[in-house]
Amino acid sequence: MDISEKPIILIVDDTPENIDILRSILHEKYKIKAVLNGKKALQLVDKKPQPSLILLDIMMPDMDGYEVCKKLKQNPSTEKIPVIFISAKNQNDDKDKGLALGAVDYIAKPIIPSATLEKIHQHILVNH
Amino acid sequence: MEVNTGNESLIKCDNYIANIIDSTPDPLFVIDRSGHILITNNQALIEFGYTEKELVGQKVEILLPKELRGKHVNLRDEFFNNGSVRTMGEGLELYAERKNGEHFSVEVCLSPIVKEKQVIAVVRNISKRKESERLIQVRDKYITALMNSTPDPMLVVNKQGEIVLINHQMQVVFGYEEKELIGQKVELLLPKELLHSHVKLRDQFFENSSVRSMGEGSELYAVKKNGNKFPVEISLSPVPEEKQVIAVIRDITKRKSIDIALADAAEKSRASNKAKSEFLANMSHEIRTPMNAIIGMSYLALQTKLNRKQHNYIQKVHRSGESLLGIINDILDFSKIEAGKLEMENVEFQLEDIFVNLANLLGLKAEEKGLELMFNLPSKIPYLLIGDSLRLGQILINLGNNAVKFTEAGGDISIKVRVLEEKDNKSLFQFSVKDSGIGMSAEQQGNLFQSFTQADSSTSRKYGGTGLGLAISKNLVQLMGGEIWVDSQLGEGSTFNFTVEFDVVSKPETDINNIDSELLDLKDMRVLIVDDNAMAREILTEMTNSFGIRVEQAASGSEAIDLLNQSAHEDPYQLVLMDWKMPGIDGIATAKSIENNSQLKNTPKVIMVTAYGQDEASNAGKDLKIKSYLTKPVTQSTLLEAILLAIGSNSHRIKHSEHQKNKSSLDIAKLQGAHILLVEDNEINQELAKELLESNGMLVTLANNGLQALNQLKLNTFDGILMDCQMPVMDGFEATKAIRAQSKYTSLPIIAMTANAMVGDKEKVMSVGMNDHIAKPIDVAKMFKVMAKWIKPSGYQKESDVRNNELEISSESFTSLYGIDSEAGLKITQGNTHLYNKLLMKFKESQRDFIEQFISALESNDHSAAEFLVHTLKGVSGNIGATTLYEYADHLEFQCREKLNKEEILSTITQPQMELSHILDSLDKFFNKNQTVALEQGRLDKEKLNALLDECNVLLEDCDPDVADLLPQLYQVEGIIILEKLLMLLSKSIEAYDFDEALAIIEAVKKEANL
Repeated sequence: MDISEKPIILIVDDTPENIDILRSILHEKYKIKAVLNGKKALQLVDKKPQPSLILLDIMMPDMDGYEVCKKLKQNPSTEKIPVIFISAKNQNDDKDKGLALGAVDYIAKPIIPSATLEKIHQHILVNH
Repeated sequence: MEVNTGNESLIKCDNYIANIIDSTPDPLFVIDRSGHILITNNQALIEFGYTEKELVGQKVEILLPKELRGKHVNLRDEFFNNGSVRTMGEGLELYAERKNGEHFSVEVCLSPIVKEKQVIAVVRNISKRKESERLIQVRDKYITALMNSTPDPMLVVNKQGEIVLINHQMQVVFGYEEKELIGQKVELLLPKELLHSHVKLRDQFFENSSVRSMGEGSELYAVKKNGNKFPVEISLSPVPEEKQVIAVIRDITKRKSIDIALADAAEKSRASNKAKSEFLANMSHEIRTPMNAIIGMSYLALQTKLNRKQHNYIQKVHRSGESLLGIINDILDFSKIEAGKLEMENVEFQLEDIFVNLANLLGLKAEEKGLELMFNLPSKIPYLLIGDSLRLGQILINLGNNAVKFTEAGGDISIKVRVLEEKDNKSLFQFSVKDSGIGMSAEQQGNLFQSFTQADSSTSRKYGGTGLGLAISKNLVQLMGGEIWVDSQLGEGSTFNFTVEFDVVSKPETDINNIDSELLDLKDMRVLIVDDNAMAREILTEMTNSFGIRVEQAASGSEAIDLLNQSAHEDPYQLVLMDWKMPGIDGIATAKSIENNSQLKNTPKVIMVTAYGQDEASNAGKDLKIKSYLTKPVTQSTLLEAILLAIGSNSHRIKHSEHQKNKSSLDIAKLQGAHILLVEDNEINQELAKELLESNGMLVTLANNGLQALNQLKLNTFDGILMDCQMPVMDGFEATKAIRAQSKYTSLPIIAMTANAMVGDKEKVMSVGMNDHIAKPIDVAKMFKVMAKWIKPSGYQKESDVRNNELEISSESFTSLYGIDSEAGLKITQGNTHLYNKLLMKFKESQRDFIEQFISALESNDHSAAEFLVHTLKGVSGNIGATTLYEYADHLEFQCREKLNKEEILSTITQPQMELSHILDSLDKFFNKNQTVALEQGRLDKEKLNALLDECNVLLEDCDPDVADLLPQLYQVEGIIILEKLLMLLSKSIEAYDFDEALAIIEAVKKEANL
């Protein structure tokens, strides 16, 4: 990856308002891509340049975040991209389930900007 | 019996004795000292199976079982030595042996005949008695086993109350031994307080006994030996023959404690549920206040100058606020229902009004989603009903919203009302909301009306919603005494039905039903209904039919034209109800071809039926002579109004829907341009009221308290004052007194605004000299009504600053207009180009038919009508700066006032007619053609556009939201205005991150611009 370029973060969320908020928090430090559903996300991640991190909503119609994560982890070309779940389902079970599926972290909605930014920053640093 | 005797008298005596011996029921033997049988009787022979010869002379031992014979000889000797009358072998079981060797139990009674040294033995066969005794013993054991096998204590008590029998459980449960209980009074087992009454009850029981539980309905207790009292259940069965009673006692200590625990738990959960519900219900105010600020302030923010991004954010805040309020309202409603705090109102209402409102609320949503919304109301709806119209409306909106939510574009939603039953002054209605949406399986329907559930939890993510709507609807329906249910199949849509009973104030007599006189005009009419949607056609046909009009249907524009042609000469159609949006030839095109059809001798009038805003439709059909427009969903009264309007009926009927809609707009019209002093200390209220007034054409000056209000009065002239009462520094009462004290303000309208609409408030504000009173929260319609009653605007005022965010219109753009001195016009609007633009538009619309109307007024010799028309023309011409036309109109007005004859007036009309026509042409061009000029002149910068679109494409393919940054550049492309609508759609889809949609729109833009 070109060091001068911002790392790409892919946001997967069916609620545009949530994308708005995440974008507003992240856009200064990162290049943002956004999709409304899992299917579109899976299509996009195969294209280069791949995102450095994926922020994944859990509750989405048709294909939920867990399913998306599973598929990402099954695909050798995407399995290394760190996934962070972002969801209003703030239950420990969900967190555990997400982590068991290979996610690196879990952020509960409503989002606290500074903490979220810090968490994402850490994960991107670790990965590069 | 043979007896050896000597003489006759002895023989006689012997026979006599022999008879007696034979008559004994038991075998009888007379035995001598050596054990020989001397005499037997018949019974002996029968019982033992011997003949007399075989017995007499034999030793008696022949009658005994062999094993006993030896022993018997000794016993016999002993008896002869010292025998007396007695029973033989007392305490022993005696057996005898028949000739055939059978043994049987016997009882033997021996009487010695001492003198003769003989003995009489009477032998009784007791084997039957023995058997029955055995059976009784077995039975006793059986019963004892039975009693002991029940888990409950059992006892038998006699009439004296003594315990006769108990089972083992009695000892276990009560702790007594059997001997401690038998023979004791049963009251031993009862608590002291019951001892006395039990004796009485026991006696009563024996008088009138039956199998039953004891002390039904009351709590019973028993006492153990150790004094412990415990709860019991007792069942009694009498044994009347013995004057005894069997009592079964059950220890219910455990059950009782479970019952108590359950009741406790239920009570606790009910209490906590109620507390929760009450808490929520009480939160209403606290939640709504900030919600109101969020929604209100974001609304106001949206009226200000914002850049695209800001507008987008605030818009989302606003929408989120509204949807949050919807959810909160649902939850509050629900908790009110749970807490039993929801009360139904009983007010008079018209069903029609509810449907007008429903049409407004649902119509737009249905339209946005591309759904057809239809109402199917019976022709004879009771006119005035009593019930909770608000809640009825809420249920219908709820079900209607659901139908919209779960139906894909192109689907239908129909709302139907039927009167199921009419009796006395009540009517039972059934409302049905039918959609062609996704439908539900039987399983999904099962938990549909439960709170917090949707048909399928996975749908909740897709379609949203709290899942409370149906539960609330169900509760509301139940509170109104009705039922709600659903008919649905997966994939085949759903129909939600509910019934409600309302009191009927008056039977159908006025309005939509009292149309007899109006219908006289319609009786011979023939109407053609043109709509591609079969259900819409049917409903419209049914409604039109109910007016007694003959109706036929056509499913398309071309079919309609065929039908019209076929009956052009005989029984032609007078009216066509035409759907606007149809596949193939649409309504406008069909109407156009009807107008231009020379075959039709009498061109039928066309009513355009449209789901879209009337303005849009009338704009599309502006070149046509379309007589009236009808907005879907159609109701009975809007249909009738449209028909009457189209055929020019002379009816003086007040339009029902207009009446509703215009109540406020008439008031608002009266207030146009009024300068209002708003005295209010709360910032939010200030801004909301200000916005309300300004957006309705009033000019507002603010004062934070009474003192500021007094200062403002020195600086400005006002047409009226809205005065808050509670304010710091100087309150509304003080301020009013101070204002009224100045002689020039004695008649200045001052209207109080108070938050607590308490009885007596009005009197209080009137007493200090205010004119009237508006209660907060503000009911907009009421506010305008009160304001219009008192406030009379003094003249045109400058349009408020609120409009600043609209696009600037350059004053130069007006200079091309024919016959209009735009400079003079703009002076009148104080340089406000928007207002001027509006005035020009109004002029164009209102004066188009001037000549026609003016001539027709003159021809019917109605000089005053003519004068009024020309006076209006003069006024509006003056306002827009059409100076030449103004002068012509002034002259015409003079002529009319002087009542010159019509020929004379008409002879001077050519010049004003020409002038007006030129001006209208010029305005038409200005408004309608202006926007297409760009394209016609090829001013669209295609190259730039194409480059930008390609750039967009790349970013969109990459799902890069930065594509939004390109939008402003797109808007700046020269001549882009012709593609404005598509660009709006593009922005919308990009803002929603729907990049696939955005890509499709870009394709469309390219196609439209021929790129």
